[in-house]
Amino acid sequence: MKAVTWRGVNEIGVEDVPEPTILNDHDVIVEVGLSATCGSDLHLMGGYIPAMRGGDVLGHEFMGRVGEVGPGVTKHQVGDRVVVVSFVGCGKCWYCREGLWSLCDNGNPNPGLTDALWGQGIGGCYGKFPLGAVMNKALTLRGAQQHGHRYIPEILDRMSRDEVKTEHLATHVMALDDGPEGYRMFKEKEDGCVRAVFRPGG
Amino acid sequence: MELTATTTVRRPVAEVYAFWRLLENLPTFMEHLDEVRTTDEKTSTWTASAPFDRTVVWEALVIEDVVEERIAWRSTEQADVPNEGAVSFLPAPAGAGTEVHVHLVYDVEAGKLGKAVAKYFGEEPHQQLDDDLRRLKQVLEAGEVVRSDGAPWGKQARKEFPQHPAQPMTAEERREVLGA
Repeated sequence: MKAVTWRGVNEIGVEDVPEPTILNDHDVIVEVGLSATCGSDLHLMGGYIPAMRGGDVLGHEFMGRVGEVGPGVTKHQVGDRVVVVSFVGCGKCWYCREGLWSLCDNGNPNPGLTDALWGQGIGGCYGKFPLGAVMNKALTLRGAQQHGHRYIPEILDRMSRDEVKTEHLATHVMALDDGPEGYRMFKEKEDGCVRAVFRPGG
Repeated sequence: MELTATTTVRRPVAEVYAFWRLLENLPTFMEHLDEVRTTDEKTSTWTASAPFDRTVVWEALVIEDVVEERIAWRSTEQADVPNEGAVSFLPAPAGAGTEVHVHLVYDVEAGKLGKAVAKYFGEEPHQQLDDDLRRLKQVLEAGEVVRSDGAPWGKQARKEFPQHPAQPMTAEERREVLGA
């Protein structure tokens, strides 16, 4: 599978990586149709996240089609069109049940360090360090963290009625092969770039 | 070495108690335990991994069992590392599930092996027990110990730095991490 990867500080590449596989019973594999750049990618690009390794795949805001489901998945089936929020919510803990998805108690596969640092484990998320949850959950600081899952149905509904325009956000739609250029333009805000959006198919 | 830890699980007391009382379930969330095999209502055989690819095996006896309230156990006389533990289950306030209070005691002064095991627990045995209870919560609430490509080790997650972006594992890495 082709992916945009982090090669080193401010060095982005496009390379072949192994095909994803189901790890948890509740996993699904999404065939990505479109993937957007996110402001927090800039922290990853700039080398501010110490755990980054060369070859790590970038991109945690995406949509597509369900290609495979784990044995514990009941809500989705192969072929469903889905929008993915970067935070991993279990859907079962108190926070998820209250719609506070980014504060999920169970979504982080390895929260030991943050537990030690802040006295509270933090939520899990795809491809970044979820500091927002710490701010909401454990400290008195307020973060800009959105509980995005909660709003997606309403946003999709409004988009289908043409009440929400998104053209001004997806300013630069390009092929995945142009990922390094797209991330550069996004970082420099070149040519009025609000979001670079990548299409794996070209 | 004496350890205590607490968590709140959003499941009814009866369910959390029943899960723990079936001691075979303990290795699903306790990092150092490989297997627990019950021999009868009160006795069981516990196998734990120890340093240098060794395993430690001991017999344990349930010494207290108050249904939906408390379970206590201790190792029998032959154990290399004498240990005992107790877990209490309390209804959490506002119907928020079950508070799980765990208390473990390991007699690590009892011999060389004890010291080796203490070392194996690392510098932060409390963190390990906290992590064990977090996985208990994951198993009971979400149905499994969660993994990601960036932290695929399940209950051995402390082996590595916390989650980071990653790429999918190769077949070889998958075999190494998951043993499958």
